[in-house]
Amino acid sequence: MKKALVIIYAVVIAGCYSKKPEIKKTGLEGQPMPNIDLIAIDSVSHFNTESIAPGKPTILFAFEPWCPYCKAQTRSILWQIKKLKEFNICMLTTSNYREFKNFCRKYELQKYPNVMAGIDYKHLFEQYFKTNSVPYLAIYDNEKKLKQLLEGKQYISSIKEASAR
Amino acid sequence: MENVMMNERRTRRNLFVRIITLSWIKKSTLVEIIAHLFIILFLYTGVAKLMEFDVFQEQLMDSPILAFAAPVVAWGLPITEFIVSISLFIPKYRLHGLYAAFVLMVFFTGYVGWLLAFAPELPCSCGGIMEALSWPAHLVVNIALIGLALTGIILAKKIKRTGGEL
Repeated sequence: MKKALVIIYAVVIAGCYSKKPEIKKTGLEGQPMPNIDLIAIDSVSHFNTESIAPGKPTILFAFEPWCPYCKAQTRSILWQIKKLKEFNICMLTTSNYREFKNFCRKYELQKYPNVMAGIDYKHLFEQYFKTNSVPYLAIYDNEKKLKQLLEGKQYISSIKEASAR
Repeated sequence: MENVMMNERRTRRNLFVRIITLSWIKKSTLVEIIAHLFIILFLYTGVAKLMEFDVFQEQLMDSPILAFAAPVVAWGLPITEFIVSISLFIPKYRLHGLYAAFVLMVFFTGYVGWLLAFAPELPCSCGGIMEALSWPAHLVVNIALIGLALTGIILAKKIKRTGGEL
């Protein structure tokens, strides 16, 4: 009886380990980065993903300010920003300006030279990748061609692995 | 003839009542089942919280009541769940474990109730499959679990009073 219970407990605990980071096959791998127009934190100026210079890998990080997974992902990226110093990180959201601004302030995104953030007011990321949740990380290589789309919160090691693949 | 039919009906009714009230199971077995259900619940939610610790902590930081103590609660809650699980597993401490499970469930229910009544936005700070429940559903499940813990306590005390072992 006790053995059976221990097995049941082991299965319960193992159930928690079954969540693996999801790699999404999109069919867009190898395609160039889409042009996404973004409203900057000053709410006036715009910038486009086209302006991201090649030569460094880029992460397009789709997030929403209310989402705890996105917050945890942001915190882990910023916490280990030195490990990602060779990446351009472009964070984009479809939220309203007030929430976006509060998020940028909370995490002091402007402090980081390789991090940029903006509002994807045309919802182009989700249309291009056909996503309906957050967080999503699209990993692009030095030539701004898609390597992989990662769904859900990721370890920094998984991001680097996806970039190196 | 009528008497026979009435007796048959009464027997059937008694059987039905026995099945519904679970009186055909030994009291100690019922307590054990309740204890193990709570162990599974606390182990699962505790491990799920630790597995996505940073997300859990972010969720607590958004909580209107617990934000100020988020790091302490983030560690304290899963550890408490594991300690309660251990005490539920050991027959000697099972009654203490049931009391602790009851108190935990009252806290969780109070928290969910407060959020539903007063919080402008509802954060989710639970673990694993519980996260999939809506807040009202969460409240109903929690109330049912309080009832289960209370049943366990009453049965365990009855067993102890009659000199039995858990």
